[in-house]
Amino acid sequence: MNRDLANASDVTLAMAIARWDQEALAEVYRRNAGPVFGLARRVLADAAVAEEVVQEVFLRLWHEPGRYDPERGSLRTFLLSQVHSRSVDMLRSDTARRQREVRDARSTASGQYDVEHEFLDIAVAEGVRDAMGVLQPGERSAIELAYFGGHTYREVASILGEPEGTIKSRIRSGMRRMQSSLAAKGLAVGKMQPAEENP
Amino acid sequence: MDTVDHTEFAELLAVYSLDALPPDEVSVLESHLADCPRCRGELESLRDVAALLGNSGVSAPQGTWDRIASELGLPPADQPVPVLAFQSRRRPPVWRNAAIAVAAVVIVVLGLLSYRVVNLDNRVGQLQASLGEQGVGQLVNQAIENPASRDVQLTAKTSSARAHVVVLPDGTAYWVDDDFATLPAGRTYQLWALASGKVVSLGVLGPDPHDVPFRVEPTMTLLMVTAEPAGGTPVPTTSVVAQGAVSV
Repeated sequence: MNRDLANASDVTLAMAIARWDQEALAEVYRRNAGPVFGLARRVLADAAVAEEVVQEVFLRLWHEPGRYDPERGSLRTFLLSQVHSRSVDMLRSDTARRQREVRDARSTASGQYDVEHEFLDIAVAEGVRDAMGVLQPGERSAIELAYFGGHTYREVASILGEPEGTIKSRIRSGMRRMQSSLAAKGLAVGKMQPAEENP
Repeated sequence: MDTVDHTEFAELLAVYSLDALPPDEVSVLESHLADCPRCRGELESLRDVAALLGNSGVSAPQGTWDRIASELGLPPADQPVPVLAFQSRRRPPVWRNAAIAVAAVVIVVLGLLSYRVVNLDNRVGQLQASLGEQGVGQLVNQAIENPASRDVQLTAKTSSARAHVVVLPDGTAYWVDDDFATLPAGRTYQLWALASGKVVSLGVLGPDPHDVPFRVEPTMTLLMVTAEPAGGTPVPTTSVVAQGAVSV
């Protein structure tokens, strides 16, 4: 492994990718492919389709590195956002949704997550878990159905038998509640502030 | 842009950050975002929260990188190295702060939401078979009297109908009774759970359920019951009769 790339920042890697440096893309993949695949698999409930989405997202980064803006967050956040959006698009095609619903009803084992991770940071993980814990049951249900279920808020309203306005409000209040909880624990959630001039 | 606009769009931003806004509403919001830095800033914050939810500790399948690498091809000949948008800004890059702050966040590993969803379908039938019909009533009584058990009330949105469920700490649960109308021949009540964002079947309860065992997994946050054709269905086909929050 290229030692410099192994320690490179997201910006350095993005710039290297812009110079057609395949090793840089490989490093981005090494750092982020697991979570990116995990999210796609969870939304799509299909490892093979999830893998296709992962390939698509990394190839898009290769061809369009300028789409990543470090002022808006890390490469991880960018890639997760990209893969979630693409997964939901695929899920909303009738065929994919029908296949998933049948599969979900018969077995949901495919949503399993591994818990081991080389970067395990218990304090941070607990902070995120606590943030989920502050949600009201109705907020949590709405957010989980929307984000992991790939449903629109209208579909969530239909599933839960609630008015659409209620679901929108619950998603908003739940997201804000989690945001506050994470921020209170020192997790940097929020718009990045401009940095000081680099030395 | 006045305050009313922000109030109206603020609710949509949270939904949009989860990719849960219907397509016909996306264009309206995106038009607003193009002209509103305040809303764009809030959206970025919400995206950060969503990314934390989606972060996990799984590994990508073997061979995925090889397939990606095989499609990279050679760099286009005589094509200048592009200048990325953020490189051309006069404002100093924030990546150092971003890298530090986000590293703590994104390296989150994910015990977070480490859901272990098991095959729940037909659990009611399996449990009933293992318990035997004669013993269920007695077990229900024991569960009700168990001080560690918890009562869960499933309530209807549009009527006073309710159902009583008791849940033991190990996840064993019993549908105790209800005041639902008895369903006609060919229909059955079916129990569902919301588990990690997915609606899963816990099994059929019968047209007039009582003393029915089932299992609640730690991933489940909501129980719901619907009236379905006898034999049950893979996905709910009717509105929820009653629902109630649950936890183990």
